[in-house]
Amino acid sequence: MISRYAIVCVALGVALGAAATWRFARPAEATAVALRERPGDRAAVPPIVIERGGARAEDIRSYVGEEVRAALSERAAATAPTEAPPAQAEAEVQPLAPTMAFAPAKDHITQRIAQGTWTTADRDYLHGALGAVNRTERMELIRELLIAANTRKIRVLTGGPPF
Amino acid sequence: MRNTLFKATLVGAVLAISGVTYAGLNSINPVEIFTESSTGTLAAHGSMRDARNSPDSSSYIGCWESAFSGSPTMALCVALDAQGNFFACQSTEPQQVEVAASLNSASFASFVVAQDGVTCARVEALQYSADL
Repeated sequence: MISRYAIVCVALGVALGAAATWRFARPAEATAVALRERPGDRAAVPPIVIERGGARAEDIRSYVGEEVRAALSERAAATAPTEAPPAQAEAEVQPLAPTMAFAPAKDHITQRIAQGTWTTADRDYLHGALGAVNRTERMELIRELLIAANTRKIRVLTGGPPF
Repeated sequence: MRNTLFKATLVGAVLAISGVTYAGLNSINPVEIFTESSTGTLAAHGSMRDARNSPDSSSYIGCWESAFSGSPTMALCVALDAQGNFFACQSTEPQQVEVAASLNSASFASFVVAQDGVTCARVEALQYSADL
């Protein structure tokens, strides 16, 4: 009988403790939710002002400004474009060696422009040729074909990209 | 009697509700190739959806990206309208290539060629609910 009474008392105590914990935890949580859901309230929070022997607002602003300026100048120095390596710069200046594939491809385009149509077979041919020429030649071939297509000198019948 | 009346009312209500359809704005943008009045250069635009669903069997619009060894990635943007007019421009500008690569099935695409007749002066990709 006594043990049953004790068990009931322990259970009651646990319940009361849990209730008390819940009771005191809830207001804080509710406040947090209220602040999240009402951003206007955050604007109403007074700004933190440091007084009584601490750094003054002007000092803080000045210090932060100096730090930001220093960080920005360091970052600018770190991200400044470095000069291209000599080999790369030289390669960009020097004309690329002509390729064997260029002349036939150029002739092909000229011939097709004269004929007036550009078919899927032409597309497949040029698609392969563009991978075999250098970048200057590639741009020249593309230029010649696209100008002809845009000015209606050649009808593109590829159902998509012409190369 | 009451049961029949209830069923009739229910059927009527269902029919009334199903008859109302809300779909939002729907723009029709087939492929168009034209000369831009401000620059005098060739331009093309259209939505992917309306190009694909065009009643003709030839319209298309889109961009391809190619990466050749030793060269910057190139975007080739092309379009063909219902009348068979063709448009193309190419770009190696990273920002334009990026925009070209962002085109998807819900996009409205717009291209303008530069004065040289080859390079893209502008590449646009609009993702817009009315073009879905």
